[in-house]
Amino acid sequence: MEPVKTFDADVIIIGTSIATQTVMLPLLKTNSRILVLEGGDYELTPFGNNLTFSDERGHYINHHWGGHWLRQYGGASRVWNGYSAPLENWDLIGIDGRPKWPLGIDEIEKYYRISAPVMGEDPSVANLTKYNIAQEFVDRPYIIMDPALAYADAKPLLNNKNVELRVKHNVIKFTCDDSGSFINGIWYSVDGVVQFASVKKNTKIVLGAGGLGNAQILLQPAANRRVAVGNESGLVGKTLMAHPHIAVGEGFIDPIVVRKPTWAQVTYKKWLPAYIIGADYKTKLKLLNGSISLSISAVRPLSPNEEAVQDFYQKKWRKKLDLYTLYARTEQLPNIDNRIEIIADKNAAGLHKLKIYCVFGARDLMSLDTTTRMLSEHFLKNKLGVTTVDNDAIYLKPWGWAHPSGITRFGTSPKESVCDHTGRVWSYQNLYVNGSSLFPTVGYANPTWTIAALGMRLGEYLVIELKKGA
Amino acid sequence: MQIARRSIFKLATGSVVGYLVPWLGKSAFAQTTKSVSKEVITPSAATITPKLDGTVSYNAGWVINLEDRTELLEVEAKKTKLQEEKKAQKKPDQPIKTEAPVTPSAPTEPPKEPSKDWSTRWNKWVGKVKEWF
Repeated sequence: MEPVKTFDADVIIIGTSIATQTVMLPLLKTNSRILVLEGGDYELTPFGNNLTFSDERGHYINHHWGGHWLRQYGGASRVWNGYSAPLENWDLIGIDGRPKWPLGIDEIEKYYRISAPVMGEDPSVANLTKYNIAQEFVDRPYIIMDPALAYADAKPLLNNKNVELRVKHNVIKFTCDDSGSFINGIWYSVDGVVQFASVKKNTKIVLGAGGLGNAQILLQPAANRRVAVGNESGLVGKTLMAHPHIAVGEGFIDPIVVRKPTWAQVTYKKWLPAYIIGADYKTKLKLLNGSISLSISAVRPLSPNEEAVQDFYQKKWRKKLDLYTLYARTEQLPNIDNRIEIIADKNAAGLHKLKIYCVFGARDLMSLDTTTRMLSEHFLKNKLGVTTVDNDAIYLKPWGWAHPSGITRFGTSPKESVCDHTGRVWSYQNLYVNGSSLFPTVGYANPTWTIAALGMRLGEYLVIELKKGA
Repeated sequence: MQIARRSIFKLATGSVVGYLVPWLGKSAFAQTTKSVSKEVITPSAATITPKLDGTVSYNAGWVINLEDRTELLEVEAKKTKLQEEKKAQKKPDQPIKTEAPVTPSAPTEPPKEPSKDWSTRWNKWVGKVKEWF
């Protein structure tokens, strides 16, 4: 089919989530012409809502993945934005002790600092990427921010003369030139009507359609070639990761442990107190990163067993012990079997729907068990509390919170990654991926702030590239 | 004598197989004559050193000190006994239900409530305890 029109812009950005909001900030300071394509409308419509339904298999609650993926202006950031904390050095390193991210902690810390105001925080919170790694337990909260920010307001974009915003434009897939080096066209649909537009060679395309949406587009089969455009590496859709969330145990703990504010709470007020094991211990024991928070348990009658433990240790340590629940949020090991696949059935926008597999492995759960046991031993040794490690909760009833990551991973080698260190798809000179799908390891913290930091970084890089082109 | 082509083929095949069998037998089917490598794999000291863990999970997954276990079990036994006793005290005697045909012509007296008197309860409980022995 001949192109019916051309998307004429310096940069085409797909999606309007926090990844897009941040990638645009450096670009808006230049005179670049930006076209933004959003699949959903300004508010969530039944049409948009139906687009994210997938066949979900594994340890995550049904429609959990779809529920964290919204086709509306602002994307999932409209609902989930804010609950986040920075990654730290250990998160960028694999369980084998080797770096997995193509950038170091110093570089990412710089972008945490720059993007903090976008997240409504003081830039100094970026200091939290570093801490005393030799400590057995460190207070390192999982969440730093309240979900106070809204990305529902499209006015700043609509009022900018260099930006053209088109909602209800669902990108389906890309086409490439004969050399296979440049994206030269975009298939998309408006209200289910499929259309095509050509793209100029020097137009930079930034794909920010979400942790799942990015890979879904790069997996759509091409009409004239064996490999889908963007999946030349064969790695798109592989190593899906998110965060296991498990109430790993409960126990009688000295209230001082919980009431005493951690240094981070004192400084930043909002932190949810939690414990993680210091990086030195994690390296030695090959543990995944995980945080355990303590929350007061609901009042309930105690069993004789519980009464005995409480009485015994209260008398022994001569202190009051209250019942608390230990709640763990942890990292999931990248596993090639956890993946998304496209199925024959298509959604109303014309994209092949997804089948999602995400299952916890032995390492994920045993790491969680060991971390909980270490914390229990830490409390016991220091006469701070006595706790259980709930075998059934960890091994029989685990579940997770869907922060889709890792399925268009960036890296230093085209053999092991979909994108290069900037987020550019290795095969193409003008196609970039933006968002949590780049993460080679997921870390233990909610990903929003890291998505914002990487967006800023890509934005700055594109400004340099566009200047070179000009 | 006429020699058929088939006979020549059989003879040739038979001689080839006869030649190959001992050779194949030695190489393909025979056991290896190589001795077992003398190289002994020695595990690292960290792997073989017995590790004694000072903590233990006893029932219900509690992580406690090993030395506390006996005493804790005793306390738990006492607590269990106390709770059972409390339950036994609280539990009122259930009247024995018998299914009788409903006969409207024969009015029955309303069932008497079990006595809530303390002494009656105490006597019943003592009776129960006696039954155990």
